[in-house]
Amino acid sequence: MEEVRSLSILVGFHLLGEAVSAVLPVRIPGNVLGLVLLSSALLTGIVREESLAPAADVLLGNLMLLFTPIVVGTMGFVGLLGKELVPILVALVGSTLAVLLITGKLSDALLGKDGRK
Amino acid sequence: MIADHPVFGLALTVIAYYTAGRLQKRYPHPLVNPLLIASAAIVVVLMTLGIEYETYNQGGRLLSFWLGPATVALAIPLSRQIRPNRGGIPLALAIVAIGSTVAVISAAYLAVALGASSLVTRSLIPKSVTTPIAIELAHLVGGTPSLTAVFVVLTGLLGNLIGPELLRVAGVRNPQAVGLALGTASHGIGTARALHEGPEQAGSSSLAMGWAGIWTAILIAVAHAIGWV
Repeated sequence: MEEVRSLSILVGFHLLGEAVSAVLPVRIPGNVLGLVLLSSALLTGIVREESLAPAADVLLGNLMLLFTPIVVGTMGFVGLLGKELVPILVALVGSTLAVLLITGKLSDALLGKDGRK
Repeated sequence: MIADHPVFGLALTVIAYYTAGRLQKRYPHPLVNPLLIASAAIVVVLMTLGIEYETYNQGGRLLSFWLGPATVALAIPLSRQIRPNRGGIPLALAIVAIGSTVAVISAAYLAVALGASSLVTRSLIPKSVTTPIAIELAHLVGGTPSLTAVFVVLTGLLGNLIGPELLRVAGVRNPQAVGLALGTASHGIGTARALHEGPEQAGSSSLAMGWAGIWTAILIAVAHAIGWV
């Protein structure tokens, strides 16, 4: 029953997030709102991490498996990728390097060299 | 035909992924990525047998559905990092927000500047956030979720492969800074690398991954509401 309890908490918060998402004036994904709500519940002690772990560990431990069907879905876009390969690669590499450097340098400068300010 | 049954896509995916996972255990290298290898193998099988993606995905979507609850489950690493570290958290969140904003703007700017189509540009916008969130955002901005998923994976792999090395060359030594940069730029796959770098890098990367997803979702939702995307 521990697995079912943890699954109940998880899908319960997902449902709650979807419900909040449906009434908000801006479209924020329900799963993101569920994440915010569940994080708050964990931090305030409303939900204990142990009661969540059985289902959460299975999902987080195999996240890549859940992504696989979506990546397979690219096969319909192979032609488009080929034609726009240069802009895609430059945008991906350029943007990722910029984010790594800006975030890393800012953190290094602002958070202190020991990393625990 | 047997492929018309949902269990075909389900079994193909699970078995391909399991096999790719075994391969990674045997040859541990960032490029031996079970997600990429399993997906490529499935594509080859489908093409060889002449099976449409929609047919395959009757089973595939039984797995990808769980990305929603899995995103909610990210609350565990997120809260685990916040609890012992409250004082430094607001500043870290502000830095991640800046990094995530740079991710969205730089990707869109570079794609447009180099003449990418509108569909590709829109699919590139959420590339730096964790896949379940990126897919929702791709719907919102008018991109293609499948294309976005590939961009997300490539972005993750890039951060995973060269992130810590790039930061080292740039003189970033603070472990928390390395974690925040990896999680902001390259979500879960970057966080997997942070786990190898050390516990502080891993915790910071989880926090950055979660908050980057939330911040980017809010940013894009607001931009959408006021008509920018």
